[in-house]
Amino acid sequence: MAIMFTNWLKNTLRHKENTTEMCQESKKCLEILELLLDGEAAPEQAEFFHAHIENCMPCYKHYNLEKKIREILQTKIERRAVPNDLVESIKIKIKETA
Amino acid sequence: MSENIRQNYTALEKGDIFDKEFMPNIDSMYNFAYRLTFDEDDAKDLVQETYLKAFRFINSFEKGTNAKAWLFRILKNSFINDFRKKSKEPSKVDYQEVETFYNSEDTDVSVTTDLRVETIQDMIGDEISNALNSLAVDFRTVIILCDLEGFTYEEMAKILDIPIGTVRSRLHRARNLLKEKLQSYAQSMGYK
Repeated sequence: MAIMFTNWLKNTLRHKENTTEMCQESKKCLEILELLLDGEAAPEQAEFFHAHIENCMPCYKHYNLEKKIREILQTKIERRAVPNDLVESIKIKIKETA
Repeated sequence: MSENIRQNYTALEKGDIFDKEFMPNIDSMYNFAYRLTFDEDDAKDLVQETYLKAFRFINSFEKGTNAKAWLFRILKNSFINDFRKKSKEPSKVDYQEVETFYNSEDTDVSVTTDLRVETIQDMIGDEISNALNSLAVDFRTVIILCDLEGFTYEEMAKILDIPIGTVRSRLHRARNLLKEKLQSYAQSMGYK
């Protein structure tokens, strides 16, 4: 019950935030957001940001979009198979020079 | 990637390093080469040339260190020196205004794009691939290194011979350009 209430409150607050367009700390947030998604943020930066997006709709949305872009780059772009003869031809060339 | 300390490997050790540390990276190397050249034969040549160079300079590689980053650096340099000259790729992107991104006071940090999570979620691999491929090579490269190959900022700085700050601003710019491409692509395809 308490959890439901917390969620309701969060959603209500988010909805409210949504109507105020800009994040007050957008420059700082953008920098941390990028560090965080690239796995380069310090623990305290990560902590700050996760707490921040609980109450900042623009940053919350931006975070989800940026996260999704990295995700699709990693999962949807097909990797090409290495041509069969490539490894062999490298080994032959190496033997010739060695 | 310490290049100053020269090793003195025996023939056996060289073969061992080559087989166990260099060759396991061939898949990443080939894919990087293909995304730079867009041509199977060129990619093969570039990878082969890189491996031959790696073998020739194996004494400047310290066993057990970051072979992948070391190989990527050789490949990227080979591409710039030998392949880029031949291709019609525009030579250099002007970074003047972007390099100082994180230092400038009037940075535009607004979330400009209307791109929606649902839209890119629905796109297929080819569409995303095309958007990435349409970026200028220097922007394409940072996205490949960071998002497709998972290099850290520090590794990227070494591979590309640029400061970490430049890596970050170039990545930021590259991702914004990618978003623009995805956005206009989505519009042209009638995605909502």
